[in-house]
Amino acid sequence: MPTYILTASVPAGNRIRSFFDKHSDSVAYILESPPTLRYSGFDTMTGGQIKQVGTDQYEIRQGDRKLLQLFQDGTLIFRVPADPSFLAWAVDEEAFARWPRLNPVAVVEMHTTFLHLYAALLPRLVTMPISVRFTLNLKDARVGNRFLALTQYYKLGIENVDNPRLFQTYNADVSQSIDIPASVVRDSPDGAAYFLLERFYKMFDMEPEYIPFVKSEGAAKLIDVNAIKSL
Amino acid sequence: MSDLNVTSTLLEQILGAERDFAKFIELREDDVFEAKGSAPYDFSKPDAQYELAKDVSSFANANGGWIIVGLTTKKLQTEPVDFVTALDLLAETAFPAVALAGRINDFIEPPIPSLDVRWIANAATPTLGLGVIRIPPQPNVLKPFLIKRVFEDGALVRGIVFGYAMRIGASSIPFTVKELRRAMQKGMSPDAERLTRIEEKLDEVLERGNVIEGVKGALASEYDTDSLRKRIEAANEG
Repeated sequence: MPTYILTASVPAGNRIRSFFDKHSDSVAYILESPPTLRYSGFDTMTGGQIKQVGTDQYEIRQGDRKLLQLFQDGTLIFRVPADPSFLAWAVDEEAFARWPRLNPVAVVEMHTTFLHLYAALLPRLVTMPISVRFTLNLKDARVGNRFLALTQYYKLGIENVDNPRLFQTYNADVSQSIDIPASVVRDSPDGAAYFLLERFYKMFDMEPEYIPFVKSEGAAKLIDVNAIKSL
Repeated sequence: MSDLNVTSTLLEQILGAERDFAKFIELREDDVFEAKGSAPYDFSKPDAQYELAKDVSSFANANGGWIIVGLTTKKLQTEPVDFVTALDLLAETAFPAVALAGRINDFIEPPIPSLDVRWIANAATPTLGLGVIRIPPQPNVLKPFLIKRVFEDGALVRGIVFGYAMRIGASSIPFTVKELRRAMQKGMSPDAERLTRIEEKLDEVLERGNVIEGVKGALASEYDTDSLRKRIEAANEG
């Protein structure tokens, strides 16, 4: 089934301070209680218990649905299914089999909360990096003979729209990457989330104008978290 | 986490004296409430009984909860939760409560104390009602509740096999063998404690001003793309 893997990493040679501490201000605690926008949103919260893997890694899961991994060198990996159990939430299983498509609310909220989580982890690095590299990886993005698609956001739900325009990805395995200044990630995660989503939409050959829940502050565009909170 | 007490109190009200089941409409599933249609499990089949045991044990392994049979649900477009859209009431004969309670405890080890399974009539249409399974919060000393008979594709999986499921948010999440094994290994491994001590030593060194790691980080501008690629592949596999 289609899977989406989002990563954040910093240049080699860095490390997270006090990585294995377990107090209430530790990275382990942040992973168990990551920033969220609302109760039960499309976010990095797993509700699981953190596990140490090997000598340099934490891992936390929600069954087979969400996987969050943090390495001591600052690499954060978040894997979710790009199917009706998460990124294509509320798309009927049969409809998904006919026309596999993602839920724009899930897409936007997931990226935004990932950025909020990484913004909380950045100050734990021994050295503040100049930039953070994000990679976006869609795997097995094909159901039957159709590639995975994205649509614009329809407030009343896509099932109530006649002939919605579907933007399909062009391959079963697609990836993008972007380097964002670390100061932007730390100080304006909502702005960084917009940059990330531009890349995500590019995988579907969609113009950024289609990204929902966006607001402008001067020349900058950023994700409007209050609009998501009020859904 | 939602306010578990609010949901529990509301459910007790609706199912208690009021029995006005229309009040279920628009209620959202959460940590303590799962809604099912009138025929969610074919109770005559063992794999359906296994599914029921999985749902019940997931609540027992978390904070307890309610499974209400006889409600139609739909997924919310804007949140990863289901909500009740209509009543799908069933006759008492369609919900053999006593037999079900026995079957549930046949499947779960240890048996769940005070498990309450019953059919409750709707005040407006007394021949129709809801199937109610109430799983009280359980003391940690009894956890985990394991599913001791696992069915796959309709057949009993024989051997030393069990399942584990836990209520997380509005979903009953079954754990894979890999996850269980990982949890068991972590519980028995001295690595965590040893690594914490090493970490403390490293931090002492850093605090003394020996910031070699930090200087290395500041000077390096290369991303380790090979390592990242391998990690992504591993995440995709695992």
